[in-house]
Amino acid sequence: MSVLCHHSGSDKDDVYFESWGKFGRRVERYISKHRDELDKDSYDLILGFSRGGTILAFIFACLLKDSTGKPYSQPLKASVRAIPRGITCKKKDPCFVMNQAASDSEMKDILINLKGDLKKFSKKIKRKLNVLLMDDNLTGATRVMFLENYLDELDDIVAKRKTLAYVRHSAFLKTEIPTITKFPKNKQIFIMPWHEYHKKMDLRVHNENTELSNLKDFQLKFYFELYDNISTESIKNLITEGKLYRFKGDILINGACDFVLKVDNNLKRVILEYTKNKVYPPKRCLKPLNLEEDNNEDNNDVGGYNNYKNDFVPLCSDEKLNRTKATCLVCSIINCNKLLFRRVMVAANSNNSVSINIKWDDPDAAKLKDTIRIWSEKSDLKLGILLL
Amino acid sequence: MSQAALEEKVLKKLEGGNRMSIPELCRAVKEKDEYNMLRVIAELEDSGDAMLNGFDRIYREDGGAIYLAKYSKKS
Repeated sequence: MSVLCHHSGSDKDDVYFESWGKFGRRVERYISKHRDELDKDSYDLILGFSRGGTILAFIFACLLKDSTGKPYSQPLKASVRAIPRGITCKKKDPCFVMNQAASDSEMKDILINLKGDLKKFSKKIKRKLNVLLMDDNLTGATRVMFLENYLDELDDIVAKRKTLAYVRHSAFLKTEIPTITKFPKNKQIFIMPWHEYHKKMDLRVHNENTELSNLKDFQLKFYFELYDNISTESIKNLITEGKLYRFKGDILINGACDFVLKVDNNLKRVILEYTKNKVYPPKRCLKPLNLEEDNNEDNNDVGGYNNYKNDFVPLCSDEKLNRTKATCLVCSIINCNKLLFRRVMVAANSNNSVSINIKWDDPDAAKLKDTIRIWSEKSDLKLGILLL
Repeated sequence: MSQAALEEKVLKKLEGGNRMSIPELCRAVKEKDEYNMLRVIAELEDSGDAMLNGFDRIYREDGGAIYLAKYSKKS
């Protein structure tokens, strides 16, 4: 068993730095190659995600007006609207990639302001809108897909929507979100001209190969008592109220953390089973690769996330529990999904009761369960350990 | 394509010690939706036909690691 990327060579050897010139020329070339298609799509509005997505959206709009046909010559065509409106900075949230479909400010802007803005614009130009959604550099695409779904619901305002990213990591599907340029071969990180360079950061564990094989049979489930019989659809509707979470079939999508939902009316319980198809460790659990491993919490404060330690109670801080991929996973999942668990408790009317069941064939498994018990005493979320 | 047909195709791709991630499997069997593939993998894991077999690691532009699971057919 092996991992794709090892720590050989200098950190910067794996990094591709895009220049402003190349960036502009690539966008120009894309527009000229897709001119007929873009004229046909006739976008009224371009939505740009955060700073990078909005820079891309403005450049795209200018070049569209400059180098395509008649549709874009009108003053209001290809107008740009940023998400969120105003200046945006990435929040120093230890659970940033775990807790929601987007950052808090993006979510609030989409759910509170966007519909009204689109409605006004649609009224002004007297037709439903053709919308292009743009983002710059995508690895995962949860926030983009969240907005796609949201726009699909606004079918009285939005006539058509498409998505276009500047680049997406080659490990992901190209068909899912089309891109302007390809991810360069033999590189691991793509830096846009407006990005700062950051050193690679990883989970530091004792022996990666052992860690990975230990995850093979690792299973993590959360159980919520169910007081009345309820259909799976009703539970889903209650969980997705307010649009913080969404479902694809029985898969509950919560940012970087997906679960399979099962409602068992016979045994009176709702079950959330963690899917380990991807692991996005929260940033507070990552360390630059050139640092010696150290479980000391203060030395592990990459990015100053310890400011959030009141909300994020670590599992591995007392040296009783080894830092492993499994313990880091459990730690991030129980810390970063509290809101979701509370939502499920309300949906299941389960009297604030949630239990965790871990199947893990490892000598540390018993210690992990003990540590969760201690965690539960310190945390505002009370977790029972379920032995099945 | 039905779920059963997709499961059969996926298992074929995972034969002979092949290790593939969900996006790689989507490309290999021309499935556009990663969540359909996730459902297929969950079924195959439940039935004991497929298993997690390591992770690939990639990095976000801010340097943070992301791990993508690889699956193989269970022998």
